[in-house]
Amino acid sequence: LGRGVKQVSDLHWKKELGLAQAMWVLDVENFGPFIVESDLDGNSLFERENARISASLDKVYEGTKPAVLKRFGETDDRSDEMI
Amino acid sequence: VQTQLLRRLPIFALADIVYLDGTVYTAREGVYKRVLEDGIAMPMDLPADSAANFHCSPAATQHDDGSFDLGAVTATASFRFSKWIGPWLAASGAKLIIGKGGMSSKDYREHFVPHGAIYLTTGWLWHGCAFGAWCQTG
Repeated sequence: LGRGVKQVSDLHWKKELGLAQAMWVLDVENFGPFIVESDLDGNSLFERENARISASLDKVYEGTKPAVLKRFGETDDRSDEMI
Repeated sequence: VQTQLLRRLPIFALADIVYLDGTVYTAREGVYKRVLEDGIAMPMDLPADSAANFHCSPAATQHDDGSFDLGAVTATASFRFSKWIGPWLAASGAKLIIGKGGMSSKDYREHFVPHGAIYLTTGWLWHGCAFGAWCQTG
């Protein structure tokens, strides 16, 4: 990814925000690759593909024991996303 | 895609691969708070200078003489910036938000669509499994 950056053309608010939060202005050429994750209608690639994969998850786990002991806070509902 | 003076984006389909030419700037919670909560004027002319906001803290330093040493540029996870993204798109005119992992389709519909903006991701990372499966079946 860094190879697409030709140079740092400016750095704003370094003093105020520090290096990590400052505004770095980068001159880029052929900078990428990036994947289009949302379109102009607001659809999400990740959500679309996750939904597709979730649909076949039950089949994958068919016949296996429940993965949790049903203690407080545990869930084996695979539609609960864990972050 | 040219990152400056993007009045309207070309039409992209999900999963298209995009390379950028022009100017990209990093801005994350520090900048969002300063501009949106503290009302401090932006140090750049946005979106004239650039309409591409990169969620990134570069591994870079600035030397005493003002020159830069740029190491890696990797994206940071964007979902944490959800609460600022609507006002930020309005204030900055950004058409491209570049980061890691995407945001929710709720954010896209509420905030990105009205401003004609889209999200570009650097890739899979913790979505590796999802993406692997998609590569095989898609």
